[in-house]
Amino acid sequence: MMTDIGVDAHIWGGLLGISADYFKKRTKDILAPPSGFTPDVIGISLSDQNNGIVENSGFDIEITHRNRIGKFSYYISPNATFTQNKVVYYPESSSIPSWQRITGKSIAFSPADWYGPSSASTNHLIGYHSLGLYQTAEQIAKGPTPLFPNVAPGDIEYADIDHDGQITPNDQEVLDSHFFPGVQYGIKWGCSYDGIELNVLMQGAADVDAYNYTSQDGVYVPTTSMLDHWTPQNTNATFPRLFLNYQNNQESSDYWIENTSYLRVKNVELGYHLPLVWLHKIGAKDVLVTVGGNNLLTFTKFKMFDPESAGEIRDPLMKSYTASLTISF
Amino acid sequence: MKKITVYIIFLVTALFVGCKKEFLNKEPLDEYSDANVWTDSALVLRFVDNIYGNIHSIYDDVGNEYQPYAAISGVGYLPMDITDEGIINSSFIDSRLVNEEQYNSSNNLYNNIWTGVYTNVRSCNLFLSHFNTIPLSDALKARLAGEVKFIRALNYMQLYDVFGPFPIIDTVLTLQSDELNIARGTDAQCTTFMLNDLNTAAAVLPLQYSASTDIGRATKGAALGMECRLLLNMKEYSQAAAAAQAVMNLGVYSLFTGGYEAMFYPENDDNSEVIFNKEYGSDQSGQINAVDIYENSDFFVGFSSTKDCPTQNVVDEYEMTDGLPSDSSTLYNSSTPYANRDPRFDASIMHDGSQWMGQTIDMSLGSQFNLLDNPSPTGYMIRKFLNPNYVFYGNNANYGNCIMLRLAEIYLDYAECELNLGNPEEARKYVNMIRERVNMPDIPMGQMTWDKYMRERTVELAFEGQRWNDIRRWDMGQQLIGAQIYGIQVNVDPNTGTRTYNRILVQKRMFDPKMYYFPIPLEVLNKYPAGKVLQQNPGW
Repeated sequence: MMTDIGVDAHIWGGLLGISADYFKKRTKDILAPPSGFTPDVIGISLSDQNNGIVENSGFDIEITHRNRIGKFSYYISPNATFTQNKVVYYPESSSIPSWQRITGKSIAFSPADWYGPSSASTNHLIGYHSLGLYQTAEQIAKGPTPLFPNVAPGDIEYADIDHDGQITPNDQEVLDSHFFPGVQYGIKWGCSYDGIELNVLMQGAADVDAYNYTSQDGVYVPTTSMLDHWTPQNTNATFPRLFLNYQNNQESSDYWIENTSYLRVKNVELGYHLPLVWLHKIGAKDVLVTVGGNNLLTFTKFKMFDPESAGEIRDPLMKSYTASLTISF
Repeated sequence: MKKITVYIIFLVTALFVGCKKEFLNKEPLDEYSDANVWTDSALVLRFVDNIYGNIHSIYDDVGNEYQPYAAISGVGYLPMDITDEGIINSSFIDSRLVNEEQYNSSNNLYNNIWTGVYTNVRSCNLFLSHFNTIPLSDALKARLAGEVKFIRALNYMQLYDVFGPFPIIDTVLTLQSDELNIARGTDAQCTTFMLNDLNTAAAVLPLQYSASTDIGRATKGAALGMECRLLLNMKEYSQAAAAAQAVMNLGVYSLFTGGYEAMFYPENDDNSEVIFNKEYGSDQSGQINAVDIYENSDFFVGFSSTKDCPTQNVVDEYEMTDGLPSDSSTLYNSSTPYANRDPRFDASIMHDGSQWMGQTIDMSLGSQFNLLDNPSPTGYMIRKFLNPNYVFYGNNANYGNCIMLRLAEIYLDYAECELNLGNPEEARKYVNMIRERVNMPDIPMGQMTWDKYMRERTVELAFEGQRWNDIRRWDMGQQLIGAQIYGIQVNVDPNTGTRTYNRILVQKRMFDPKMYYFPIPLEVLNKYPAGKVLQQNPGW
């Protein structure tokens, strides 16, 4: 069921255009497994039922401004979309603590991953809340009993959510991060003067995170972030003490969640129409010379690979430069 | 004219359809509905056969490393990897988590055993619920019911071995059932239930089957044998001894004399020593295993595989041919450590110098048999269970049966009971029968000790899947589960070709008594409503 309210306006003869939209969509009858709360002793695998309800809502706006001053004309058109979602209902057993249930929360689905978090029991991301790295053995002894007996300084420290003095799987919570961007925006702008024209497209996303499986995996794809690992001499490190197949640091937690907001200059094109005077010589109607590029520049805090791919495609993004010549007869 | 044609066609179709009742009601062509099965005698027999196919044996875990984390049915490959018998050569298999005590209920270890057992048990309960109306003779029905109860007990025993007491289900549950949130039974309730099933089965099952198509079905001896194993693990020594005697007195089984190693070859499926084995039949039946493909050296297989590697710890348990352990025998020579050993050593373990499939195995690191990308961490690979005639290329599945209970274990179980009941000479008699089979010298009169018994059991039943139960029963977790694991490093002098063998420390394991039973997986617990969650095992 979808509610959509929008406004389209052109003001002042085109100088300003606004297009705005508010939407709220409630999807129900989503297939969800009732085995989420039917004990296995029943001995059969149960088919999914139409139980789930998810609500998406958002706001979309695009503003366009065009103008011409003599031979110089320009336009600028930014747009932005703000979205959020909420799981209204998902079949979960009442024995799951409230901080681990996704019903009523905004969720970030992550695709099933072979070596993914061991606690993602229904495909949403739950994990521990991390408090940084343990620095000293006293710190470990004073705090709640860690998950495993061989935890040492340099390992990730987790928060004791249920305050029972021990870190247990009960201390996992829904990692409330936005793996789908909360804000997506773009700007188209350009100008032209005489025969020269310039068009630029920029886009970006904000309020978006990614789960950094690559660094956490470590074994398969070592990354440069590991060079800054914890040692007694380097206690202010960003990466825990080096580990191989070590469960404490491989637990799903918000330690590995990184902000992947970015703004990218997606496309730039600079063109020049040759003066008509020259064209008569070759009998052409129009000759356009352009140079341009794609993905020229990205402003982001996330340096590992393409933030737009949110960690799923691990190839770096291709930058390209083009030049073209178009002759029309 | 057209109108009449139309009417005629319409009438004919209507009559045709109307004549055949239920013309449009078709049965699905690839499935049998519940109503059809229980009234058809052939389908009922197929139903029971199918239950056999779903029995979980240790072969079923080999090659399953790439199941999603929560579905890894065991902890890696063969269960040897969580005991002092073995170590897996890959770092990402769950058995490593157990070795280093880095697991808890959220790792969902053995989740597949829990769900698998209840699925199998449901099939058994379904059969038993239709018992009165099945169109078969009373005798056949009773026998099938006995087989089904045996399998039900077998499944519950597997669950009990891993988790301890479990919710006892003996009816068919559905979503309409009053109560699905059934609590775990007490220890006594669970063992009584399993023993009842086994006793009922033993009373009706035949000694042997004459039809070749019935080979592999549960027998009286199988039911009594499993009772013996269960009673021993419950430390009921006199009852276990009685069950063992009952098996032996049937006169059906005898120790296999065609060779200790050959006992596991596919051509010796269902041999005289086998009390119960899981049949692996054909691609068509879907019962295949992958043991030969994964456990052989990469040299034969053509790809680098994860495999179970025996440890130096278990190698040390094999005596020299004079009956003395390697550290006190004059026959032991550190430059040829594998010479003059108990023949079961060579038959069970692939070591430097083993002869296999026409090759001499070289276990030095980086050799063509022990490649650097996935080498054995201990310098050994497993040999027991492998078929020397296996053809590798050409997509050949393995059809060798998995022996789940054999006479040697009954002898050893009996010996353990007698030792605990204060009859070492009776124990010595049976231990010596096992030794004589492989031409090892007898233990002399008056010299039967507990240590000798433990060593005999370790060596005879190596890698067959009962080690964890044994260690728990002997309460030797600290020494055998939390052990320091050793291997052997083989160095070849490039100039002279002389081989030297150095003992190396491979892994320091950890142990805590709560590890004797695995935590009930979080995935299982999370399905119960608040206030009715199953009780977790102590310490987890």
